[in-house]
Amino acid sequence: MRLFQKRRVESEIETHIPRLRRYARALCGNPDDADDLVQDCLRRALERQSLWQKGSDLRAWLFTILHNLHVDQRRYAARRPHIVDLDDVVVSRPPCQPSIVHMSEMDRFLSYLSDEHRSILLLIGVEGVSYEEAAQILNVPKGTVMSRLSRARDQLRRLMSGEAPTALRRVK
Amino acid sequence: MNTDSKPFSEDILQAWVDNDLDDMTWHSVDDWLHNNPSEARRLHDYRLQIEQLQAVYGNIVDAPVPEKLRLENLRPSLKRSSAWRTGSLAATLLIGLIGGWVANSFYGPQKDISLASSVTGFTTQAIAAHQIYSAEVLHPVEVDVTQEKHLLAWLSKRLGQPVNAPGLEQFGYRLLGGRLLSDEIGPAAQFMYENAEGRRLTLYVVERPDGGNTAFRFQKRGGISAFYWIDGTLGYVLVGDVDRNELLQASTAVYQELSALNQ
Repeated sequence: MRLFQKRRVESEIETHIPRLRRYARALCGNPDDADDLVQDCLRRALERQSLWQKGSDLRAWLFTILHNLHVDQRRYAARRPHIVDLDDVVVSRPPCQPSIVHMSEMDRFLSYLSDEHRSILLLIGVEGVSYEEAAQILNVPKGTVMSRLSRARDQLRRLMSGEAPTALRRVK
Repeated sequence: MNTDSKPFSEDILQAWVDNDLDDMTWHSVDDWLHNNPSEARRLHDYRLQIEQLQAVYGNIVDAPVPEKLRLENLRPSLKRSSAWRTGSLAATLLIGLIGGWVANSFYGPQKDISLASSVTGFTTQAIAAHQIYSAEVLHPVEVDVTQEKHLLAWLSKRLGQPVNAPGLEQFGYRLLGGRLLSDEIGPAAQFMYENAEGRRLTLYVVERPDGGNTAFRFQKRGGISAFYWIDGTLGYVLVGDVDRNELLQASTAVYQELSALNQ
């Protein structure tokens, strides 16, 4: 492996780290898990960088790795009972003020969404990836991206307007 | 919402939200929305959502990238030496300590602050140590359970008093082994347990020269739960990525077994 080429890819990977951190932070709901996830992602990317096809979108490749790791970890986590903080056990919440949402509040809203819905909202809304890229990252057809996006936005809207999260849970 | 009369598919409407339409389609959706206030409200709410998500998470990209995410520390060719690991552990512990101290000085009760902060301190260290070592696939423990006698003798010697690894078989967890760690007030022991699904619990034991007895207290950090208590001259933290009730039951069993042994 030519060292020069490797270093070039690495410096390009480096430019994506802040965005991977942002996505992971919003996805995981806390900074510790997020940085662990990004660390795993970067390790895997470095190990497999020879598998990355030159000329293809490096960002999408990195986000795909991160997504797959997250899915694996969540699958592991799903085998244990869901942990709900006592603070979270509320019947319904008052509607939040438009445009003033604190991170903890948004983390809480997002935590009520499924991983699939959270990912799509963040990829499209925060990371600004195209529908096609999102389909590639999440490894689903574009039609699925669109229907998930619509459902995810609907659910977040209902949560933010004060609807009880328990109502969403049932629907899945 | 009158879905039958919608001239546009939901996909088109979502693309309108994301400004991902050609000009002509975008304008015709726009015109239609003027006469459909409930749909207009819905789609505007979606736009507001995006703005809020960006406002909340957007500037995370500007935060400095932490040391642990620097590529030179992660290259597979670079041997992950124990020195690096120790450094990372120390950094995690330090951050935890500072965080715990800061949190305590803001929120902690004014009286008895030294006890409160040192209790938080050892719990923070226990959680940090759990996060690091429970993720280890190859070397989760320093001395494994096949040498349990040696392990207990060694840790007892280092902590200066008898240390025992309680059984958690009734909860489906078997002992894997343990390791010696360094806590701010001296040596600490960590025992690791694993169940059939590979889920791990750790019991952190640290010397408490000032002694005392406390009730079980609960702390949760980064998705990891911990119950901690002080019994005589030892402080204990049972840590796991498990349900609070399950952890409480296990903690109670640990407490009972250990206090029975000490009597």
